[in-house]
Amino acid sequence: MPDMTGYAFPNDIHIGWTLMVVLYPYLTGLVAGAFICSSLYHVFGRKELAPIARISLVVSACFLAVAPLPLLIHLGHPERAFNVLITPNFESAMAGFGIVFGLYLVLVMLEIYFVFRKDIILRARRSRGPLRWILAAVALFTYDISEEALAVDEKIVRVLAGVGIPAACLLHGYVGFIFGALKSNPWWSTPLMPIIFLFSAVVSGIALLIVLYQIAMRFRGTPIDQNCLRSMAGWLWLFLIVTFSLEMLEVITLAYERSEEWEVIGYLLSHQLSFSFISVQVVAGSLIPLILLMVVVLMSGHMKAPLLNMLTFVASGLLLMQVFSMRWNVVIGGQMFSKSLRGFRLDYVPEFFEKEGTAVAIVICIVPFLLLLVADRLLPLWSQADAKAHQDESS
Amino acid sequence: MGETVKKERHTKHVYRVLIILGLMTIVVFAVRYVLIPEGWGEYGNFRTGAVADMLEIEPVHGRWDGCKKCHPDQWEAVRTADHATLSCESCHEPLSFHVENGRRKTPMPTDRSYKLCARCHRRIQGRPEGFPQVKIDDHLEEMGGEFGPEVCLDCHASHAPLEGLR
Repeated sequence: MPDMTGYAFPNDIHIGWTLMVVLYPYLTGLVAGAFICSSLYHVFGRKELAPIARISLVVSACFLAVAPLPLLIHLGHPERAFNVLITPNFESAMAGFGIVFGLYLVLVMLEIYFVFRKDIILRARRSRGPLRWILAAVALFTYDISEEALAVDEKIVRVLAGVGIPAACLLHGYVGFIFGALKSNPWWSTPLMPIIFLFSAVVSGIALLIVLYQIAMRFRGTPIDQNCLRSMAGWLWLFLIVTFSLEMLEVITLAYERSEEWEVIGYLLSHQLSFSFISVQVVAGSLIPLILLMVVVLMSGHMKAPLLNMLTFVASGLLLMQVFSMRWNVVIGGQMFSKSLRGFRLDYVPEFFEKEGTAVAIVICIVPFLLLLVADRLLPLWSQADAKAHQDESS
Repeated sequence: MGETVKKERHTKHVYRVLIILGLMTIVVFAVRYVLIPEGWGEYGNFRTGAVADMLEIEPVHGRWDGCKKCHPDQWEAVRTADHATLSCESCHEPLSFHVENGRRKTPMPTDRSYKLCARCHRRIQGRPEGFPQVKIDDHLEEMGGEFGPEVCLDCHASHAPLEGLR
């Protein structure tokens, strides 16, 4: 039975939003972050990001596919999930999920289709039997890969990616909004919340791509494109600076105002959350990567490739952890103090084997990578050079 | 023969995608139309018939004196003791687990764990001043006793907790 201290209401003993509700914004954050990273190439013409332009879209789709899982597990009765689409209550912020998620899914799938259309057709041409028919159907029975057709594709991808940026911001900003709009909870209720969620989402997305890129290149024995990595490190650094500043600004504002809620939030951050907030989120998760990335960005000219790779890899790994701990501190931290603002729950550790426990969370986190492996078997995910290799292989 | 060269536009696949999207939209709205239950939205964001359906559902819990018919002695005993304001089902399982059509179905399970008592009597500052609450460790030290999973029942009778303390 959890321990309480201070003047806590008896019903504040329960952590209703569990590990699954921590995982949900983490996963949608990776979706939005990876998508925005791909848009840097498709919309803003950062050509140096070409090696990860395709994979980032597919990563976004793979995580998008599992993003609703934590919510379905948390709420139970997954068969009722469609009610939110059939009879939505537009006065509820949560009803927005079905619509925003649905539109975003269509958008990402369309963009993937137009990016990979040529590869789908090439693959269809060299396949036999039922696979050929399936791929031909996916290619919509037109094998037009003339330069003009590909130019049309490119234009459409640009538009979709452009529309996708606000859509990604909406998908993730609304997750932050759900917390930011809860006026009863001073740790959540701030208009900064959607923005903080959004920026940290981009951080986690780029960090994941850096980690994936390096691991994949090692396995494939392909050299890492240093220009691409340096550029990603730069973007990561930029978004980290904004995220970390916003996160700290929120706490500093609360601390400086010294209004009644600081009595609980200050205590919470220095006691129950001291490890996950101060040690993990701020020091190991933000300050250390901030310095590592600063070194990478400012001194990349004087650095050998292996060192640069290692520094960005470590920084990205730490940032993946930072964003998770930020979600944890927001979601769980917000439920550790009583609505009386005078009492606390002492701790919360999810069980390993329970409906919303750690084991389930680990499985959910593994699924997108399995999807990614499947996608890797079907399509050339990595780069144009890779696509060419696929082509040569077939001829 | 004056054959006109038709300029190819290379957008066939785009139109096909658009047609599929259009069809998907129609299907989504058609399915939605079919699935919206009858009576939805007449009086608000709910199905009017839901209220009548709810009334049809067999209640899981009994009334507050639902156990009295078969257990009059226990029921009376509780009414005169400190737990008088509680319904039997506050601590026991719902009546329908135990009784069906007025006949005993399965034995009523009894939770003898200290956790059940702690749900109300564990010391939490937020509870009313005069309400009996204990910190279990301190209480055991004061009264002398060994902690065990059913430790409360060593001294207290659950129906009349302050009478006939053992």
